[in-house]
Amino acid sequence: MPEIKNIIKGCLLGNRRDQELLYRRYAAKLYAVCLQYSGNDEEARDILQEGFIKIFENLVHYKYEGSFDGWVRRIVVNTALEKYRSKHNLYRVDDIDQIPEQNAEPDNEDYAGLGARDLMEIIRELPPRYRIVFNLFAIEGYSHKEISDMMSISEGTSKSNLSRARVILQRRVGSYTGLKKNLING
Amino acid sequence: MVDRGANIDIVFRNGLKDYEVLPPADAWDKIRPAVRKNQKPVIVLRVAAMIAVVFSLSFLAYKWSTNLSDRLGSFSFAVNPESENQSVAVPQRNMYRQAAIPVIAKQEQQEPVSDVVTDIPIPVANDNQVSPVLNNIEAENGPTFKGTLKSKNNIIPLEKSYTGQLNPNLYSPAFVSDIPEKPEDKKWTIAALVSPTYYSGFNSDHNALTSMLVSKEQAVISYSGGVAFAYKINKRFSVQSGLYYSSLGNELSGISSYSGFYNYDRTKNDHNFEVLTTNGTVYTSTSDVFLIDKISTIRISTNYTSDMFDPTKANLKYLDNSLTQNFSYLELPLFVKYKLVDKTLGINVIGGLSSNFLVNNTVYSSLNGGKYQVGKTEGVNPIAFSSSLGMGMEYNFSRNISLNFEPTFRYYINPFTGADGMRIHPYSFGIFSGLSYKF
Repeated sequence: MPEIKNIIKGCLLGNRRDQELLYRRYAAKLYAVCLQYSGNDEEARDILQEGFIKIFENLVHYKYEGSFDGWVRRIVVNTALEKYRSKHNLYRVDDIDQIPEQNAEPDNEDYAGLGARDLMEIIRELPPRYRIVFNLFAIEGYSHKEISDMMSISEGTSKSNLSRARVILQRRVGSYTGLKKNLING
Repeated sequence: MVDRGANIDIVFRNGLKDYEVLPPADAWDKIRPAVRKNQKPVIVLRVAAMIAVVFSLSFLAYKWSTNLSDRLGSFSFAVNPESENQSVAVPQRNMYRQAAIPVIAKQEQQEPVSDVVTDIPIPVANDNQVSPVLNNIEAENGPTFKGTLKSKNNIIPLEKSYTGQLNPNLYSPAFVSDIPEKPEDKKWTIAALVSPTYYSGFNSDHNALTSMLVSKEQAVISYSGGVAFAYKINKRFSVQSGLYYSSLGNELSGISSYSGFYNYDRTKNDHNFEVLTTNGTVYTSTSDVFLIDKISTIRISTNYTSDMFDPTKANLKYLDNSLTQNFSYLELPLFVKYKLVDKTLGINVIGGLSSNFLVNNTVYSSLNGGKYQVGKTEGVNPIAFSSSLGMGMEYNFSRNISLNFEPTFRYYINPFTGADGMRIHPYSFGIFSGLSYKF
C-alpha cells in the first residue's frame, strides 16, 4: 500500500489515480462522519462529495503536522457545519424542548449491547442542532465556546442543546436496549 | 456519583470511533469532474500573446527598416539638374509596376519604340503626389498607373517609380555608366551570434503543487550563443543550421543551505535530501550539505526533519537562502529564413525547430560569489525539442560582412521533465546579435 505522503504528493500533482486512491482510503470512514452529522443519506452524500473536493483543493495547505486522518475529518465536519448553516432556518428545535429527563438514563451495562450501527441510527434521529452540538462536543471534543463560535449561537444555548441531546439519546438508548432485551428473551 | 451525561458521550464516542460505511458507488463520479474543472487552458492564449508581441515588434522593425533603406540605398537615376522640366517618356500601354527590378534587366525586355507613346511631360512632383498629367492619361485611356510617382530633388528612384517601358534614350551610356554590375550571388553565410535570454515556463497542468512550485521559482538571466551556417536556396529563402550553446536555470527561493553536515550524517543513504521542483527532483550529491525549506513543507523530503536535527544548534556554516538549478544545452537548429527586405538593411523572418541536448545539469548554492555544488536534478529529459520564431535584421557593412540582430521567441515543445503532473513548457525570449560573413 502506498504511503499517504506519496498519495498526497500525487494528488497535488493532479494525478487522477492518486486522487482516487485517497478517496478509496478515506471514503468509508468519512461517509460515516457525514451520516453522523446529517439527517438523511442524500445530505450525507452531498457532504462527502463537497468535503472531498475541499480536501483536494486544500491539500497544498496541509503541513504534515498532526495526523492526516484528523485533518480530512475536520474538513468534512466543517463541510457538514456549512451545510447545516445553509439550511438551519428550516428546522425548529423548540418543538422538542419539552422532553422529560426523569427515568431516561439506562444502566451502564445496558449500553454494552449496542453496536455502532445502532448508535448511528440513534444519533441521526436527533434534531439537527442537537445532533451537531452533541457531535462537536462529545465526539470531536470542542468546547462550548468553540461550538458557539462555529454555530453562531450563545454558549448557554450550546450547553442547553447538549443537555437536551443527551436526554434524548439516553431515552433512545434505553428504548433500544429494552427492545433488544425483549427480542432476546422472546 | 456517575456523570451520566459524560457517560453517554463516551458510549457514542467509543462506539462510533472506528465506524465505517461504504458510500454509494457513484459518489466518486461527481467528485472527479469537480476536481478537474479548475484546470484552465490558458497556455494557448499566452503563446498567442507572445507571438503577437514578436510580430508587432517585427512589423515596427520592418517599417523602420524600409524608411531607412529608402534613404540609404535606393538605386536611382540622376536627372540632369539643368533640365528641370525635362519630360520622361511614359508609355500608354504595357505599363506595370516593376518595383525593385534592376534597369539592366529591363533593357533586354524593351519593346519597339513605335509601340510607346513618348514625350508625355511629367512635371516633377512633391513626394507622394501623383502627376496630374498621369491622372489625365488614366482618365482618357483607362487605368494605366496603380501607384504614385515619387520624386525628390530631381531624383526619381526607379524602385518606386513606374519604369515599365522607358524611352530607350534613357539607357544611353550617360545614364547607365554608374550602374554597378550585378554582384556575384553568394550562397553561403556563416555567423557568430550571442544573446542574453529571458527564460520562463508555461504551466499547462495548473495543479495545486505545480502552481505552488512555480510561485517559488524564479528564472535566472540566461545566455545563448553559437555559430550558424546558412545556405541561400533562392533570392528569398535560405536554410540555416549551426551549433548553439545555451545555459538556463531557476532560482529555488526559500531553501536555505548549510555546509558541514558531514559530521552529523549518520545515514548511509545515497542522498540525504530531495527537493521537488518543476523541472524534476533535486537529489543532493554530497552528505556535507544540509537543506531546510523556510516557506513550504512539501518541497523537501528528508529523514532529517526539524524534530530530528536542529541546524541552529549544530556547528554548520550557512551558505545561502536559495538554490540555483542550472541546465546547459547544445542546440542543433534547422531554420528556414525568408527575406522580406533585401536592401542595405535587410529584414528576415526566421522560424524552425531545434534539438537541444542536455550537456550539464547542476544545482548549487552561492557562497561569496562562488558556487557550492549541492547536487543535480533527476528526471530531466536528455533531449528537448524547441520551436523558434524570430525577426532578423541585417545591416550590410559591405558585400560580405553584415551585422545581425535577431529578436527570437523560443518555445520548448516537450517539458524539461517527464515527471507526472509537471508539464511546464519552458519558453525563452532572446535578442541574438553578431556578425555574419557571406561567401
